[in-house]
Amino acid sequence: MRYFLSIYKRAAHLHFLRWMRYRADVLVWILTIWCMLAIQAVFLFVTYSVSGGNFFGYSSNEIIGFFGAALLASGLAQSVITGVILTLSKAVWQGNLDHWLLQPPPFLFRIVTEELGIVWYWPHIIVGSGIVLYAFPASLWILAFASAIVASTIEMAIVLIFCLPSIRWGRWNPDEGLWEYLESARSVPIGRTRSFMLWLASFGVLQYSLALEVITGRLSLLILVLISAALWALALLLLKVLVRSYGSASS
Amino acid sequence: MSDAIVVKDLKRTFRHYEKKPGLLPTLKSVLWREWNDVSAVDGVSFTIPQGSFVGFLGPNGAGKTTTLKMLSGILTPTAGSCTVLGFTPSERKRAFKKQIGFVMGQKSQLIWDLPPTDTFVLHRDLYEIPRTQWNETLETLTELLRVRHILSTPVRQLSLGERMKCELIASLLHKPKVLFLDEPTIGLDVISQVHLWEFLGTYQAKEKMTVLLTSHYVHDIANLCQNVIILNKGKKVFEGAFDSLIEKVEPERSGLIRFRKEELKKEQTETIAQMVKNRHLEQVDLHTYRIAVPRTELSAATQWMLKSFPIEELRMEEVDLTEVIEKAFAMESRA
Repeated sequence: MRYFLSIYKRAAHLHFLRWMRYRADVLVWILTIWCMLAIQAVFLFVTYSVSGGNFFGYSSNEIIGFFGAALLASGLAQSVITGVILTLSKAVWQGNLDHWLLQPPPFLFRIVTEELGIVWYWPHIIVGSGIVLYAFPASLWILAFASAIVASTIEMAIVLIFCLPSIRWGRWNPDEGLWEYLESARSVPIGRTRSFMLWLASFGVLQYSLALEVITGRLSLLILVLISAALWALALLLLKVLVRSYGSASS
Repeated sequence: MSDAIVVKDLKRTFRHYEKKPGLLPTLKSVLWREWNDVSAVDGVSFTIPQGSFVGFLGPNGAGKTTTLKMLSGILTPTAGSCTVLGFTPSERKRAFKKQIGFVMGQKSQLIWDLPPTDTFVLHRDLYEIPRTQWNETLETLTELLRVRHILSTPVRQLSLGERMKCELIASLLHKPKVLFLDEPTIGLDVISQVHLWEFLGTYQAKEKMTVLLTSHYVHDIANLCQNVIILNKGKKVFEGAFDSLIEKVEPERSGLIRFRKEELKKEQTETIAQMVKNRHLEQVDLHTYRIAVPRTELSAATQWMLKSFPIEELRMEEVDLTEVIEKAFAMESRA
């Protein structure tokens, strides 16, 4: 555990060093992340106003809490997902996977830590946590955070599973396609429709809806954890297949 | 000396499908595909003793890199077995990975935007290298490779030669017992190549590492390797010392003889003409002839020539290593 923590610490440190080298990156980060947060807040306000304080059966606090949990989970998930997708893509294209397979830590851990997006998405995590603390009573804080974290792991697993076939062939471009779809899907307000088809069509909302079901006491946290465990088992199985069938012979 | 690497009947097959161009064949290929199996490595066996420097030679697609990747655990063999330091590489055990290093000429492990030192520090954590050992090794390696001045320069601003030296440092910091080098001098200028050869020769002798080197440059192998393994189309065509390879494919040594024409007697001129006729000599110009004799008879033949004829100059020709390798590539695979 100490070994993994030391590598995680080093990776975060290196990620920060790498990120700070480019002033343009810092500027883009300020513009995109804070603008995105502002737009999402406006969206929330409009939704709340239009629904007259009762949106698909959720109370106003629940909607604000939903937004906070979504931001928190989104920040956590994107910190890892963006890194994982970017990393896997680069790994297959540039051959880093070869080196990671040779290094002592398990390659999945190496992939997760290599492009850690911890710097990029910290506003989501901080603002999201603030909203969760504001919107839910203190007795629900732990449950709210736990649900948001488990929800983010579900999202990570689903994105990873969907991206793997592309990564397998070295075609994945993280700047377009599925990732953009997922980004937009997260902002679609499906609410508590209980329609699996619609939920499946919007992975992001599925996770946060499940989280909200847990926070409002309609679903057990254990079930959420089991869903996450099952999806990660599938994702790891597919990753194992990816590495087993890895066919980079020479270049 | 015990064996560091034991390879038995190692095979790796890659599968790919073939598709004709055009829309119809594309649609057809979605439902029905013609699969082709390509044997990148086809039943290769060899053993490498600990502490030896072995070269892998072969044309493109011979299976050199695939073999190294199977020995390092990146690729899983389709059939056969290999053990490195007593481990099965494809199991990728942490204890095994801590004892090997791999430098790939075309794939960097350095963090592109940061100075090489940051990658070295990361490797200290990854390989759990004690800080004092890390400091000492880094000091030694930077000294030997003469790269101290570039340790704070971002990798993207380094020249190819400097980058390759840093790649070597990153792979050697944890003092591996086995080092795999896959075309480390590709794209380097002659001076950088010589620096790398010098370093590798010195360091390998000092640390008694087992080194496997693949290269397209024959001189890399000739300068560094005690033994050479030649692969062609996935099969081993030669294994042994480089000298014995030359002996096998180029058994004759040739030299140029320049006679003092004015001192040649009539019978000597006739003997020369007879030798040309019998193809023991080949006339290059008016006074110069080329002689080719088996290596074992070289000494006797030279002495006889010097004793029998007035000779102005006798010069042995260098063995053309590229030609030797080309001939070796063409050799049939041993059963």
